[in-house]
Amino acid sequence: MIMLNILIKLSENDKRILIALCLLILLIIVIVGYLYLLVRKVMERQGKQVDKMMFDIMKARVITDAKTFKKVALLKSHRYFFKKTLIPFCIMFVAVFALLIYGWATKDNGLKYYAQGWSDISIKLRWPVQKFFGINIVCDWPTMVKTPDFTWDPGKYLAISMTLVGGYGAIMYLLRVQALIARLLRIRKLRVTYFSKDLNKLAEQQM
Amino acid sequence: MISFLKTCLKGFLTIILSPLWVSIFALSLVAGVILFVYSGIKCLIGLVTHRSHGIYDTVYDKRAKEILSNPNFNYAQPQPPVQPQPQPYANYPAPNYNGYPPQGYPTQPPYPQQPPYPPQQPGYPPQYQNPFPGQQSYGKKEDE
Repeated sequence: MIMLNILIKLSENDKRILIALCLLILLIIVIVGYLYLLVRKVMERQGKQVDKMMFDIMKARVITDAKTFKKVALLKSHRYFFKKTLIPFCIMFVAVFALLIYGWATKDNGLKYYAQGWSDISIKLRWPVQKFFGINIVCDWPTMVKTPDFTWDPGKYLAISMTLVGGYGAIMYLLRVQALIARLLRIRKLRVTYFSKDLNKLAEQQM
Repeated sequence: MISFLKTCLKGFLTIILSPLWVSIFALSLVAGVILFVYSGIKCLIGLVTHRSHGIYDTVYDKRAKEILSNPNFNYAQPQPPVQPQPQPYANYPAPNYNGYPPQGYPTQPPYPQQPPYPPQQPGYPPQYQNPFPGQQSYGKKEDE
């Protein structure tokens, strides 16, 4: 213990930074934990689409084996995915096409206007740092070095607007893929629970 | 308190296993693009060959609709399984194999009806009759 005290000599400032760092890590873990619960709930709700698509078939007892159930459910899930992904893909395609057309029209095939537009509109911050165990860590609020430039330039505003539109399409696509994974998990779960050879279930039916 | 600790543990595990689920999600994104292109091609082929590509248009859905629309449907009774058949010529009427006219078609045949056979058929002429009545002819025996 004495050896450890000799090796680690922390000043008051170091202790404060260490406590703040621990609290920050704990806060991140808690936020990620709650995000996990949120994503799980959302995916459970997205997976319910399989129940909606397969309800009539299972109610009428048209399918009686797990293999056919999986085949039909996957077919329906893929068709649903295609139907729902058509709009995000169209949005992304229009955004990219507009940027390329503008670059071609202004003889800027390297799309330099795009980077310049984002550079003009963004702000620059300088973060004060402090050394802690040899690592540079932010220790105070930042100061603004460069303010955004809102002067009119079609390339700049086109770059920003099309990035936002394309980003919206990309987020929609991510959600569709998440729903696809959720449906896949739901199909697997239903296949196990619905067609499992459970004697308890059989006994309940025969009682 | 325990639920809070559980949430913390889940958050910790999510962070630790993030490379795994991020890579799975990235693979799913790529698979989604491939699936989109594949489904699009299938949909185009379906449009050309007049095949249905709807979510609720499978053979199983049609069969389920038929069963559920039946007022005598009994939930406890199992239904016969469906054998999916490809229908490349969906616009043409299905051929009639059971001898009954399909619904919506006239019940009278277009050709004139043949007179019924006379009740008593005349026997074979004497030159075609079996000259050896005690012997069996070739083919199936009578006791089979």
